[in-house]
Amino acid sequence: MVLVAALAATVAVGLSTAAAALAFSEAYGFYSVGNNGYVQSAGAHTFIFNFGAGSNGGRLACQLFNNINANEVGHGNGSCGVFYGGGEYVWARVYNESGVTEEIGGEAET
Amino acid sequence: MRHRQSRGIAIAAAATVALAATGVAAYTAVGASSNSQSSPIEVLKAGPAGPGRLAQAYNLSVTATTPVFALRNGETVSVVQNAHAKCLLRSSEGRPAGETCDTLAAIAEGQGISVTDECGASSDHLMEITGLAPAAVSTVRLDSSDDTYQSTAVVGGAFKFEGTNPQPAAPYPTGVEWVASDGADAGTAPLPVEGERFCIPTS
Repeated sequence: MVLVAALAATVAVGLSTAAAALAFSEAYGFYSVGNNGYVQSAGAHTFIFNFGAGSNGGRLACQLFNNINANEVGHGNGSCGVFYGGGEYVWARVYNESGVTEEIGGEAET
Repeated sequence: MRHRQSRGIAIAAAATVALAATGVAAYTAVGASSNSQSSPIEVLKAGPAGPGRLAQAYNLSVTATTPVFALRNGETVSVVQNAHAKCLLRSSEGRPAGETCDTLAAIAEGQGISVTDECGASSDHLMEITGLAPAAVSTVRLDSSDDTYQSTAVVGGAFKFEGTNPQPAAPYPTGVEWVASDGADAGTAPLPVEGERFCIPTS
């Protein structure tokens, strides 16, 4: 009985760890865009966090959005991040708001 | 473009946890003696970075954070720092929800400020302005376009203002003023927002 319980606990931990390890992330962009231009993820996913960065330390905006309910925006200097807990499929973008052309990129994760 | 989809192996879970714990300990030890750092975009280019990406780039241990306050949207805010840099970390139900990190010199110039806006159709349109204040600053004033301001105390080197997204043609926050503990003016910093563009259209 003890052995069975221990085995069950081990399997439960393993499944939990495996589920956590199945998280998906996508890096996108990493090329130069003009002021107010943006880079965007290749597809929509159940992203919960989007992190962006730029090459010149200027203003950036990160966004997770769809055409239904979601539109979360985070602003920062040199980097930005935004969280969405709605569980819907969303796209990820990073906007260059530095005033000049710069290289920007993002990483969105489920 | 780069994609990552990793698959865990259940039987290796215990070993993975043990290795991760070892890695954190080793990382913390490195962070205590190193001042090297990567820029945020270098961190992203290096590959999937995951939670705490910037803190690690600044040699800060994400296991040594100090909680400073909670936000109305349910997120918690923590701060971690060393002799050279500081991070403000936001989390929601234990998951990373934001990360603002910079050198102490950049924070003194007002670079450690972030603004988040709920702009979706079904959202509550909440807005949070959080940031890291320069050393010796005890109060932060948030200036508005209509020449009014509101004040908040600095807690653990961090500050927060909570409101809602500015409506079109309505007053909107423009920047902060730093106030020292003796009431002296300690400088100003703009918000990292382009004018009134707090929300960004999705089309």
